[in-house]
Amino acid sequence: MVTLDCSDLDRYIGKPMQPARMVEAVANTDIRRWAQAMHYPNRLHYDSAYALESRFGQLIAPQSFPVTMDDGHGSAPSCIGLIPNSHMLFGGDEWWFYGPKIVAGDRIWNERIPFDYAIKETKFAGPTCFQRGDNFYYNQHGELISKQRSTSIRYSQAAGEESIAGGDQSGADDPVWTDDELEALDERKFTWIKMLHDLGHSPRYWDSVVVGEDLPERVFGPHSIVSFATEWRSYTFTQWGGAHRRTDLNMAELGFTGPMAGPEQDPTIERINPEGTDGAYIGPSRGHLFPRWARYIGMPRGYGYGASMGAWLTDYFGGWAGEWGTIRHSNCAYRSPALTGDITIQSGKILDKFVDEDGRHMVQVECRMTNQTGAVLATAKAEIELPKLPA
Amino acid sequence: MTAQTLDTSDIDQYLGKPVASSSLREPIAPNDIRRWVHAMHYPNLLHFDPDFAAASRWGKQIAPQSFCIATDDGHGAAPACVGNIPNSHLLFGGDEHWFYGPRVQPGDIVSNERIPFDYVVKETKFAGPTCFQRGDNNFTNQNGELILKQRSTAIRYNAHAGGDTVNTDDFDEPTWTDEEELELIKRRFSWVQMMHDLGHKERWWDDVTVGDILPERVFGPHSLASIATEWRAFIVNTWGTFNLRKQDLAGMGFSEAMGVWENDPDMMKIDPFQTDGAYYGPSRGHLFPNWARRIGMPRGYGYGASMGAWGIDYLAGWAGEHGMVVHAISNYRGPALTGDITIQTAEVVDKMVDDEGRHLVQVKHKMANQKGTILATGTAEIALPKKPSA
Repeated sequence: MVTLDCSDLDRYIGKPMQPARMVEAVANTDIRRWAQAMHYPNRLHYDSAYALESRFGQLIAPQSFPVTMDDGHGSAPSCIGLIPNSHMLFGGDEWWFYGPKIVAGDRIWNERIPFDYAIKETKFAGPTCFQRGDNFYYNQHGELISKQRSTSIRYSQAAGEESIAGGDQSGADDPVWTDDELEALDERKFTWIKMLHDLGHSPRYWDSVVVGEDLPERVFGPHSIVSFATEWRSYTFTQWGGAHRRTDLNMAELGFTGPMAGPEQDPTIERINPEGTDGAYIGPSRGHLFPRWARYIGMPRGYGYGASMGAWLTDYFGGWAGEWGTIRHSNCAYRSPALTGDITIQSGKILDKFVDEDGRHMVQVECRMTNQTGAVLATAKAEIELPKLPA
Repeated sequence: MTAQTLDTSDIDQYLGKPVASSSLREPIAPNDIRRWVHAMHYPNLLHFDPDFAAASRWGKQIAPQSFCIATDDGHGAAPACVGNIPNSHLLFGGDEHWFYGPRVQPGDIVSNERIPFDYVVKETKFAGPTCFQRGDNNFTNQNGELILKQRSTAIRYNAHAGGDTVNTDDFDEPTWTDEEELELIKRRFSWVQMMHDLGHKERWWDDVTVGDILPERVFGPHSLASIATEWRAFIVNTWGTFNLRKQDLAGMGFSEAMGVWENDPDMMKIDPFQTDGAYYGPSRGHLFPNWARRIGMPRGYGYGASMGAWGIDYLAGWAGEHGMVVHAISNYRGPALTGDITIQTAEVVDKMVDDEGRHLVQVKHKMANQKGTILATGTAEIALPKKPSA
């Protein structure tokens, strides 16, 4: 009988934690690296000549960027308090965007406040804790850029391991793609990129959007240890010396088990032996890039980051909206992770259009993210502000 | 089986003439340097910890001597891989480095003037007739100061011959038990501890004796994750970081199947995925074992340019912040494979004062894996501070 003791969590709820701060100001190449790692070839975010001709006149970060300014993918306030012998996966994110953009030279800090938690029974791991926490991303002018309410799924590590060891083993191998299939995939992937080129610097007018229409399909992958490692390295905190480290983070005290409780991001050890603090190789995240440790926590093989899934959804909406549009709010639920060898397919629909109480012209959209077998990875809804045709 | 031939006649027209350069779009950022030492497994606090760097003789963060190659768009191979050799592939054969003194620091713009040097064709067991081609990379900063001349050797061979000789016994990575890994962590740390012990102090020339053995440095096991981390630390491998030169990879003889858009400036604007050498182009075998086997490697394998950096960092880390590698020769014998560890050793073979009055030690250095297979060998001269006379 699996049990999950969450009694320690109450004392943290509603109380600010240590904020997240990077050592260096944002650099243009941090933005480029992020767009590339997130499979988001929007020239506004990596091609300085193109960005010069944009409404911004310079490279700007995509709206998905703030999460790379956190030291825990946004999960720090949703993964606090001891749950003995537990592991953690990303369950979802709700985002609010307030307008300010991030450019090179900015300094972002993240004020983090644990929000709430609930325990539910799941097929995957029995009793499972859904814990939420808020991230408030501010720039150096004190402007609030975005708020991220992150959901962590915390569960018994043993139950997760058993769900893999005692279940179907076919998921251990990557699917195989033939050369012909990969070639066809390249063409399919390019259609969404072509949509970005076709829109270019032009506005996508609110007036031209029709409720009930589909959003263009976006495909990327196949994912690989290499692409996941590229994602990992685009989170700024993963660099030695890249972030001001928390002094109150102890993986064992959160309840992570033996081999998953390594001292990731320990500020003291980082100065003595930084290889021992790199979450690619040690600590709770090591299963993403090393299949042996993936199976230990209930994943069949190398698997993608929840925070990246959040970025894929934001970029899907942001790329379609174009440089004159702004995502104002989104709510994303992560159902299952992207696995190595799989591709990711995003499709969407226009649900509604309206003028909100601030006079903004809004469209409501949804996105469904699946892999090549049709398994649902995530669902999301968002409200996007678009420009109105001049009268 | 028909005899293999290798037609190198196209190369002659390029020798001695500068090849087109690609330039950096941004000055060096502090995190470019952090990313580099992290990827190269080189935990020298001078290069990533602001407090330690501020207390150093430099008073600020500087890049390690190995850094210049991170600012090139071809791992130094560009001038060593010019001219068409039909249906050929390339491996890194070695590097010779001459360092002139200036260090790279945040805010610098590094440029590289590249000039093809020479070539020779020899018979090898690996691939039959094999071309050893050399070319020079001259790295300068925005003040026009020459930082480094790197003479790279490319090994170019018939792609088909390479694919014929893959050793299937090596398809699987070695496994390390938990106990072995724990031992390895301790062994890895002993060299890091050596750097902490030296700290900001001088390693005096006077205290080094011919016959001294340098402390062993171990790192790894290598993995697709660590080799991908290395790839991403070369600045060119991030979209849009360079004003890229236009190249014709197909025209240089690379097989179409390996992909021909790597670092293409036009494709970068259209479909940048196609330009990423991690997934497409001549380098894809490093990170994808099925592609490694098509070019004669048993599984994922490390970069020659990284091996060059490992060699320089090993000697510079020992020399400390008051010393400097002034010249190094490295011959690459075989790549680091995923699952393997790398073990570096060196011996002091001579001490001298050169005609510029510099106090030098000469070392022989060597890199091997856990089975004793040699990855690289070479010699180097390192300048060390001389104790003030009493």
